[in-house]
Order: sequence, then C-alpha cells, then structure tokens
Amino acid sequence: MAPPARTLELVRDQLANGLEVVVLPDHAVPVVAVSVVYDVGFRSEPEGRTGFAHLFEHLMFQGSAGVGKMEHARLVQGAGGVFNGHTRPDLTSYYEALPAPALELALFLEADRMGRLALDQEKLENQIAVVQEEIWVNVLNRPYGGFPWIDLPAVAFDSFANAHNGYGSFEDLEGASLEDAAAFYRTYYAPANAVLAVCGDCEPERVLALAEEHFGPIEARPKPARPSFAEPPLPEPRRRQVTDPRAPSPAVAYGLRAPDPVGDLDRLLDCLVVAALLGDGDASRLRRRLVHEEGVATDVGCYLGTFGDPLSMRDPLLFQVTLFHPGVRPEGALWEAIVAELGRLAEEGPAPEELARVRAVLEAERWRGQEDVLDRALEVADLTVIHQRPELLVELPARLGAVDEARVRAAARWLAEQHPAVLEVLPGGEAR
Amino acid sequence: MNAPARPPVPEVTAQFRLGEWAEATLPGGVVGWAVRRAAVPLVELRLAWPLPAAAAEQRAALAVLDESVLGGTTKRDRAELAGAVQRLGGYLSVEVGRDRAVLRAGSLAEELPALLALVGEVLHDAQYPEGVVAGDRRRVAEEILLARSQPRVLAGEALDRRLHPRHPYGQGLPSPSAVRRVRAEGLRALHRTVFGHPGARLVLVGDWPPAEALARVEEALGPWFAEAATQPTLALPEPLGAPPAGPLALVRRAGAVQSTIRIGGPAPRRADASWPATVLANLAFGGLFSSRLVENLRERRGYTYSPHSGIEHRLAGSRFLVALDVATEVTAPALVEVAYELGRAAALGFDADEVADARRYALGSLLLATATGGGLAGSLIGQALDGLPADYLERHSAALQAVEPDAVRAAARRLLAPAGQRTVVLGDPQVAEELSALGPLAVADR
Repeated sequence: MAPPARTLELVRDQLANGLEVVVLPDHAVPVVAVSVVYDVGFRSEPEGRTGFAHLFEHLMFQGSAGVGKMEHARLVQGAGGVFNGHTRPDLTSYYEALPAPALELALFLEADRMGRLALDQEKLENQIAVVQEEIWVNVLNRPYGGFPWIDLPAVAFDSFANAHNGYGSFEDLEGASLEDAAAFYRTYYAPANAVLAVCGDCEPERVLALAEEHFGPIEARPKPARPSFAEPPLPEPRRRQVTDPRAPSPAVAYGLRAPDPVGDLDRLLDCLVVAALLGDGDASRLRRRLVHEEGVATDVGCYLGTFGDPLSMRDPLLFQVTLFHPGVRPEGALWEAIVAELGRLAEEGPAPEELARVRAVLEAERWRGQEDVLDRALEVADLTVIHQRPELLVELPARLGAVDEARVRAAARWLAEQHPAVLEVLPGGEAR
Repeated sequence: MNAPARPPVPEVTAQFRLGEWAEATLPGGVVGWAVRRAAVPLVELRLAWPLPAAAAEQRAALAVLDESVLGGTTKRDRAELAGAVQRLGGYLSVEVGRDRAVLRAGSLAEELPALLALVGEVLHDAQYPEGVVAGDRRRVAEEILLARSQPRVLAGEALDRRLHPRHPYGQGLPSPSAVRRVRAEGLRALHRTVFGHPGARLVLVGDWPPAEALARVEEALGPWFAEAATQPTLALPEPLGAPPAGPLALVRRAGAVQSTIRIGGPAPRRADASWPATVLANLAFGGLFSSRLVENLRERRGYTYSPHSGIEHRLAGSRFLVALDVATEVTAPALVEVAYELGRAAALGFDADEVADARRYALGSLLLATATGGGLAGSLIGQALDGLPADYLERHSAALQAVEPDAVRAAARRLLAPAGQRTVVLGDPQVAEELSALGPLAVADR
C-alpha cells in the first residue's frame, strides 16, 4: 500500500502596503489557523534594551483601537479558538487556530493590532511584571532554567545581537519606555515587514478578499533594512562554566557553527541528518554510546538552531549537543567522544540501513508537522519571512531525501573541524 | 485609516464527528477501536492497561519498567529495536503513570503491520537483560534526583500527599535508593502483572480501513491478549475518598524566589450528568486565558505568569486543580485573591457572557484537539480506559450545547467551593509568618 500522492495547494499574494499573504486550503477538519509573522526578533533589539522584542510581543496582546485589554483572549477563546505568540532570534509570531467560521474575526484582530495598537504606561508596567514572573518561573526558580539558550550564545558569539539572551535583564526590562515601544512598533511592525499565513478550512479567494479588507487600509511603511549579523567562526575553542545552585548534577552544551540556512540550505539539511544520526532515539550513535553502553550521560540532545527550528533562523546559528550527566567523566572526555563519533561518521559514513531509517523518521516527522493546520500556518509563514519561499514546505521532504552518504560524511567532517563553544553547568550543591 | 468594523463572534456550529470507525472485541475481551483519518499517510496506535493496586505500590520497579521494557528482546537489543521502529518512520514509547500503563506508537501508514509485529514482540519477549536493567536503574535514579529538584514536581507530590494520604495516588516518586535496588527478575514478573492485565484497551487512528486495521491488530496482538485473559484479574486501587480536613500546608524550599501554589479538590467523573456543566464552570473560573483567575492574578495584579485551573481524570477518581507560581512577597495576597475568586464563583456563579464564551471554547477546542491523529488517539484511549463509549465526544459535544445556566451555577458550587479545596505552598520559609495570618498553617520539609 503506497501512500497516495499528496499535493498542496498554495496561493500567494502581496497587498499594496507590502504585506505578503499565503493561503493553504485544507478541508479535512472544519478548523482554520491564522499566523502573522514579523521579520524582527531579539537579535534586532537595541543595546540596553535586552528582552524588548519579547516584552513587545506581550504588549501586542494588550489591546488596540477596536479591542480592549484582555479582549483578544476573550474573543479568540470565546470563538472556540486558541492563540499565542512567540519571540525567536529572527522573528516574532502571533497565531490563532479556530473553528472555520471565526476566520474573519481572527483576521480583524491581527489587522487591528498591526495597524492600531493601543499602549499606555499601566499596560507596560503590568507586562514588565508579567515577563519578570515568566523569567522567574522558566529560568531562575528551576534547575537548568533556560539551559542552554540563555547562556550559550554569549560563549559562541561576540556581537551584541548574537550574544545577548532574548529574555533580557531585569534592569533593561524596567528601563523600557512607551517611546521605545512606539519606535519599535513603527519600524518593525510595518505591513511590509510581515507575512500573513492562513491554513485550513477556507477558500483562498475569500481569504485574499478579507485580507485586503482588513489589512489593506494599514498605512504602508518601508521594510526596515536588516543588518547582517554575520560573525567569523570561533578561532579556538571557548569555554564557560556557570554554577546552578538548584541543579543536582552537571550538564554541558556544545555549540558548533552551522551552515547558513538561507545561503546554503542543502548543507544545513545535511547537518539535520547528522543530528538525527547522532542524537535521535536509542538507536542513535551518541545515545547508544554515552547513555546505554558507557553509562556516562543520562540524556543526550542534538539539534540545530536556538530552539531546534533552524528553518526559522538566519545565519549565524549553532549545531548543538546537550548532555546531562552524573559527572563520572570530565567534560573534556565527553567532547572527545562527540568528536570521535563525528570523525567516524566522516571516515566511514553512515551504514546504508542507518541512513535509510533516519530518512524514514525525517519523512514521517515532516508529515506529522503537516497534519496540524496551526503548525503548517506557522511554518509556511516562517519559510516566507526567512527564505522568501513558501514552496519549501512541499519541497523539503524531497530535498531531505536527497541527502546521501557522501553529503553526510562531508557535513560530519565540516562539523568536526569547528571549534566548540562549551557551556558547563555545575551543580551548586543546594539540591543534593 | 478607515478600519473595518469588528466582526461578531460566530457560534460554533460544526459538531465533532468521529467519522468512519469500527470496534472489535479482540481475544481476551480486549476492546479495540479504529478510526479512519487520511489527511496524512500516518497511523497512531495507543494501547493502555489499568494499573492494579498490587502493581501501583511498586513505584520504584515501575519507574524502571517503562525504560527497560524497550531494552531488548531475544531477537534484538535496545538499539536494534529502536532502529527497527525508526525504519518504519515510527516511534514507540511506554509510560507507566500513577494509574495506567500506556504504550504509544506510530509509523508511516503502510508500515502498520510491521509496527504491530514489533509491539507484539516487545509484549511477548521483552528480556530485561541484567546489563540493561543495571544501566536503566542507575539512570532512572539520576532522573528522579533531577525531577525532585523541580519545584513543580515537589509541589505536585505535596498536593498528592495532601489529597490522597492513604492511597497509592498519594505516593510521590520513589527514592533513588529504592530504584537502585530494582532487580531484572522482579521486572519480568511485573511485566506480566502490568502488560498482561486483562483490562487492556486499544485505539488506532490513521490511513487504514478501520475493520482491516483491527484484523491486523488481532493477528499481531491477539495471542498476547488471549494469554493475558488466563491471568487472575487483580483489583484496581480503591476509589478516591474526600480529601481529609486540615490546615494550609507550607513545604519549605529555602531560597526560592517564587512560591509554587497548588490547590486541589474532588471533581465529577465524565460519565456524571453534571460533567458538561462542570467543564464550563472550570473554563470560566480558570481554564481560559480570559477567565477570572487569569484576569485577576495575571492581568490586573501581575502576580503570576500562567495561573490556570483544570480537571484531571484518573481511574480511581477525578480532581480539580489550580496551579500558579507567584513571587515570594505576594504569596499571601495571591492566596487571598484565589480564595476570593473561588468563593465568588461558587456563591454567585457566572454571567451569561462568561458561560457563552466557555461553551464556544469547549466546543471549538474539542475540534482542535482531535484534528490530528495523535490528538484523537490520545482522547480516545483515555475515554476507553474510563469505560466511556467510542462516540462519547459526539455526545459530549451535543450535551455542551444543551447545558442550562442553572446547571453551570450548581456545578460551580460543587466544584469550586473553597471548603472542598486543599492548598499546598512550596516556597521560602519566610512566607510562613504571612501565611499564618490567613488561618492554621502546617509547615513541613517535604
């Protein structure tokens, strides 16, 4: 029983104010997902304002000319939907998934806050407090909070844009003003700097007409020029240790420079296959060796990009290996094991059946990612913002399937030659 | 700019539909459901067993069991087994929880027969090799240390103890030393007790004709279920009783920058006539972002990032839970606000608008949560184990449409009344003084 060929209808348009629109109709279930992704993330926030892109994401939920404070949540959930937003190094996403008849309501809400955000000092102060609570619960009050994404960039990179953490410092957050917010909004929340994606039970012509009706009147502003955040790779290994008073045992993260996802997508996909060979599941090389055979790690992770989503990032980004371990083997020896496995992969290549099963898993994962209309709306918007190529959604399985033994060997060799940024978490003793 | 007017909030008219499905009684009386979902070429399998009381007490062994069960068969070692599953574009995991063991697996649809064969191989032939078990118990002991450094785990354990002190559900995580004493021999016996329990339920969702899919299940797993039916049926844990009375409990965690607050009480079962109204009462109280709990504690006061309430169904009983993490200095004020909101909702109920929002959310989120094969399979297996029929969600969806305002008020009174709730706070000892101003306080170290 061969899977039937599945095609994807994809409709694209651009409004006069520059907003790009992508529609993916799918009538399997009577639900629809809307995402609006802005081409700005925490790499673009100004010095002295760390955490501002994420704080601003919170402010986008605080009301606009036609929507009162708290009303966004009430309207979306009251229509039977779910919503959220997230801030990443290179983009900020807002999204809803709802029963199909609520499509226009979602478009109205997104257009209203894109065009007519309503801010005041009280909302700003309230959301600074909420973000501080978020940082406490996700980072400061738990062991390994924010590991490794909070501290690894500062080891791997030098420039402010790449090295600072996106949650920001409490001091910078408290210094945020309404003027900062207005300037950030004016510059980065221009329609020309965003992509609207709609996926699910909808008719493309109607979506385009509604997009024109709701987003069309928003004033056109230029798309801000995005500076290059490129940095040279590390000239030598770089290490940092942090003590976590709440951690019961050590952890370590290695960051290696990954290929540019936009300029060199195929090599990035090669690295994705290497990551799966090394760290995906009990059959993977590092997990088998370090967790099961040698018993020197309790968990191994291997992924690309700050949050494991390399297709939502531009250069530079990291290939990361994270290990939680009981401390029976020093960090240096763990690194040697990783380099040895990369070297072996470069020398001998993956066994044919090993490559075949990793390909099968990546194919099934692509399907799983396609199944949910919200995941699909988010991914297609990201691909449009970062790669200007929504069709990649359809093309990726074939491009991943084309990664062969020679390409895996070359990618492993290239990774093995990178100097690592090493972040060690040492237990502070309180927990044991 | 001339902004278009705000469109009205539409009613949720689409009803959940299970679609094409089939039921089969497999050997040993195991009931299996298969549902056709053809949007992607995948298949999702769920197989679950209720955990008998005799097994539920063996927390340390259970913690190792769900790792070591995939540790190898006579045909292949752990890595070969994992590789064989991956070859199908698949995954396979086993999780033994407080009240049930659940096997989750999935693969590319065309590989279903091969996936079922591997599941059958694990059930019949898991070997629990000495070396594998030794490695797993060491790692599980480490993981327990890690888990018990997480405030949410510690607070959850404290609440379990507080609500169910003399019940298997009240036991926390096993101690690392008990885990290090687990033996392969014991696991082999426990394997039969847990996965050989005759009350198994099975769900398959994916791109297969349902009856044919169930026939494949019978071929691959029928012999195991038939053998299980010859085992004595071990009793399940007693139903949960009402939580004992007692003071507010503070569990000390020196240096905590936040207090982790957990509140719990009894809730009705899904088969209960009051269940649809209870769903709406919970959503309006703390299940929605626009609920009273979030509106007050997060948006008005900035005390907390993600306060929420929910209802959890375990086989021996259901419970209502409120969870929030707050800055240490506002611990007592936050508790006052939560008690106020609970009392206000229990005494006065909700406005018509709040109920209407909750109803549309309940209907819409049901569509969203079951839109993927994995989401639907997860819902169905929970229903199956609770003894609900396969078309339960269709009936529930219709019942939600029909709930009367009075029923929501009555449900709110029963679910939310502060007298029915028990509270634990995990936080810095300095909060004790303020908390004792709210009433009797018991302070403990764990």
